[in-house]
Amino acid sequence: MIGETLPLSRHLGNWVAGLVGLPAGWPFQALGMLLVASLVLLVVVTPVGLGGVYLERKLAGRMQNRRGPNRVGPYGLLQSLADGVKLLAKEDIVHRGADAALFRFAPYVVFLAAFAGFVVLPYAPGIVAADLDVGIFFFLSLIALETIGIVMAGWSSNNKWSLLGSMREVAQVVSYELPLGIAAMCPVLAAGTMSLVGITEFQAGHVFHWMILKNGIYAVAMVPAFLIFYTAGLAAAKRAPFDLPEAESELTAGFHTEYSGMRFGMFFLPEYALMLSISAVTTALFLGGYHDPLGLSGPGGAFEGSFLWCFFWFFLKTTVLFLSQIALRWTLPRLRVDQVMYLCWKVLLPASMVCLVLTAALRLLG
Amino acid sequence: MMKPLATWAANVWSGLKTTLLGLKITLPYIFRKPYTLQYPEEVPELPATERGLHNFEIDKCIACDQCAKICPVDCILIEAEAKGKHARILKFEIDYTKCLFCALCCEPCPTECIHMGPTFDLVGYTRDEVIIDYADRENPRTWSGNETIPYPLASYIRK
Repeated sequence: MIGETLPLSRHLGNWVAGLVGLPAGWPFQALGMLLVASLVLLVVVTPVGLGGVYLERKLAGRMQNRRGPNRVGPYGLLQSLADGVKLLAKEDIVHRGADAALFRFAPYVVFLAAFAGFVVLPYAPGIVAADLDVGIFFFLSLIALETIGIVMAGWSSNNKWSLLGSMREVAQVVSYELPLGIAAMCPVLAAGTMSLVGITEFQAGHVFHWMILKNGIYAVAMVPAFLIFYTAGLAAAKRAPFDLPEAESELTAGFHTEYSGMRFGMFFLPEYALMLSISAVTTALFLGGYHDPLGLSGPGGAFEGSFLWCFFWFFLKTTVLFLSQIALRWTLPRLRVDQVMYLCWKVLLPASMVCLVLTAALRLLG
Repeated sequence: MMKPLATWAANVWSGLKTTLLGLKITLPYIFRKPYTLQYPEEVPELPATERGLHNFEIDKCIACDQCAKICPVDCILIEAEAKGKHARILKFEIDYTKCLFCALCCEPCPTECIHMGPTFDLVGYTRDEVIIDYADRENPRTWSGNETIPYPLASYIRK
């Protein structure tokens, strides 16, 4: 079983087994998985987290008529790296009164949940770590898992601000998960599969094959569904205007107030990873995934199956969504708790249900 | 039935509209030149009346001690051989841990040898380092009349 979804890990495991001269078996395949996981952490986590932080700070600076980081390295490019080294070097404090075991464990849950989402993303044709049949469901459940880590952090901190932050997160999750899930169901319904690869392949071709404008008529349901998914996605990534769990002006830093050093970093980096993976999932669901607007990567196109071409378009769309999340953060003020509830329960939820019914009707009519 | 729905739609519309309106304001700033001055490398242009660190013309000073007497915080210390035109200034110390940049010292000077200058930054690792002896002719901060004073922190960084 182990290694079947990840052929690379099987090969790596067998290679290590050959090195030490032992018969290949499941322990080596498990080791291979670990190796792949650490490779992914090295290749994905570092650029995503550090690059995301740099982009955010730079863009925030420019939006506020400042320059942003520009001291460490050319254009301040090494700033995030320097911050990372600083976080690693700092003391790891578990304060008196904290529930030490939970306190230590919480960051790992958040970290794992945020980065495991990258497994199901279709970057280019055939480039996907695990093409799960329940891809989008897996992704949404990981977002829910992250919440558990945040509640653990808030509860074990033994600090009223942390607890308030994590309680807000729970209230928020309960509200945004329904519209998020239902909005995601619209493309699933249209494509007839929950696999992100399947949904992307369903959108093969030019811009009118993409989910959001499918055959033109699907736009009626898909444009609102896209907006709902995007808004709920902002809430899922705890980005402004939905950054109530952190709310630095009211709750110090919310659920991670008490964390220091790399444990804080393990809350900080996943935020950017989650932003990116949610942008990527939005791309795959609504914006045609790795297909380009002219349909050159589609069947019969000039770039059919071209890895670089497809990856470029996937990356471009994801980055645009990512940047829009940053721009929104520095534009909108934080919502009040009741405003979030109003938005999620009274606006997004009914609207997403209407979208779902519309999609079903469109599907039925052909 | 219709009225709440209309209110709801109006709410959604205003939410979308105000978001876009906000973005319309913030996004153009990305392409605007930042206002930040890269301080130690770039220095601000200050008005001529800026009351920063003193400019002291040692050749004009007659060691009359007027500035030291009027100083409300007693931050000026003058040591000299002889008085009047032939005075030789041995020490003209201004203690910038005390100085409050009131410019009162400039008023009574009969030869107008002490002025307030444009330098506003002064750094040091100890308190003694911000006590400046203007009689020390090696001191780059001593003003001979026509050259501009280097900015202490800025010149420090450039090294």
